Amino acid sequence: MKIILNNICKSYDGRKVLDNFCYEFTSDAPVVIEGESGIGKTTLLRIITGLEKPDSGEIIFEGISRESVRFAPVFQEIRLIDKLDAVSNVKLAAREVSDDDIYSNLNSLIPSEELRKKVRDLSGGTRRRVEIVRACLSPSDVLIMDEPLTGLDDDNAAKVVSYIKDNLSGRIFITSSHSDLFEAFCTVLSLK
Amino acid sequence: MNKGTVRKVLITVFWLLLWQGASVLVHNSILLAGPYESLLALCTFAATSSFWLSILYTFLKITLGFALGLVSGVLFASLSYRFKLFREFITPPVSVIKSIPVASFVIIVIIWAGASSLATVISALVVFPMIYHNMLSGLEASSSSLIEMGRLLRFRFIDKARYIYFPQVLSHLQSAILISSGMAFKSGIAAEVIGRPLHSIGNGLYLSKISLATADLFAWTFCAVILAYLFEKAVSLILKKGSAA
Repeated sequence: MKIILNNICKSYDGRKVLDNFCYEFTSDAPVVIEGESGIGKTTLLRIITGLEKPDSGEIIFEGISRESVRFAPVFQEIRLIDKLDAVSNVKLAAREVSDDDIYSNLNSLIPSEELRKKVRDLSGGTRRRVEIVRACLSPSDVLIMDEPLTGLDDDNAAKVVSYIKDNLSGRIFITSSHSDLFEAFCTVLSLK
Repeated sequence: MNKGTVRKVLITVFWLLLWQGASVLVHNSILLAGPYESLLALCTFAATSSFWLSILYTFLKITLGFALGLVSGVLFASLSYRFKLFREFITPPVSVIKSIPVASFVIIVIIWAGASSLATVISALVVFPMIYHNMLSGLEASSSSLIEMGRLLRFRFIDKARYIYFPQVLSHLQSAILISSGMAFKSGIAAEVIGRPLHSIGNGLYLSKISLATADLFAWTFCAVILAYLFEKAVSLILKKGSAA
């Protein structure tokens, strides 16, 4: 499967964020998008997922129709159902996965005593890890993670990156990050 | 009994005494019947089966009207939120329902459907626009970031409704449901006074008017107030349980 971006342009208030951007994302080559804040990383990810429309240019999905592509996102800011615990949050997006599997996946990144607390009572870093497990376990074709390491200390960031790497399962992986941890297994795409 | 309850009882006794005193001073039961006379009228009513039938029918009809207004308001607002064309299509009739005086509707309903279903139709018409508008603004206020998340992660419809829309909608809808439950009773009974269906509180009020029986009027009014109060309490209890879930 491939996602091909052809001459994508996007402007906000007259300022060009993406100017004739072209790239080919494949499941063989995970990609980390790097670049200064405000350079257009989030915009690019949102355009790929279809949450935003480009001003011009085209996105071609090869090997799958646009409508059937399943995205598993980690957004720049945390988006969880606050009143549910971590396991239930993951379950909403990964209904076929058993509770035990969800639990053990979460437990590989989060201490067990945190897993049955409502996510509103968890720290930002823990909530972030719940989102990453949710994305990895949800049945999907494309993993899109916008700054997934925000709020994580070095140890946890390394654990999370290794978890993501082990759970790509042949999916297209596109992330944006300021950390160089992804460079170990991802192609670097620098936005300028 | 705690201090607050004692104070409430004393305040109620004060107003009842004032009412009784005023009725003694006026000394004309047509102008102002006192609480004692009204209570007597109520006791007399309570001994008849038609009184209880009136209460039951009015209660059932208005509750049905309230439920219809609530369900249709929620349904139409959901469709309006989802389909822009539907919303444009439905906006004129909703505005019309909201702005036409209840009395005009009463006459129209009597002509079209007769007096027996009057209270149901009128209370539904009063409840519907309030629920519709509040439901729609609740849906629109739902967090767009969570909606995006639910869409991409392909949440089931039921999960989206329960965890993304419902919390927002509930806060908008709660007060509208409470206010409209009280209004359903007031307008439903007012409609009955005009249409006078057999076995209804409205008919009882009308009969007390033509026979200038103020004590009867107060007794029927007391029943209407109690019914509306109990209904509102029940609705508020259900809402509390719903928001805690």
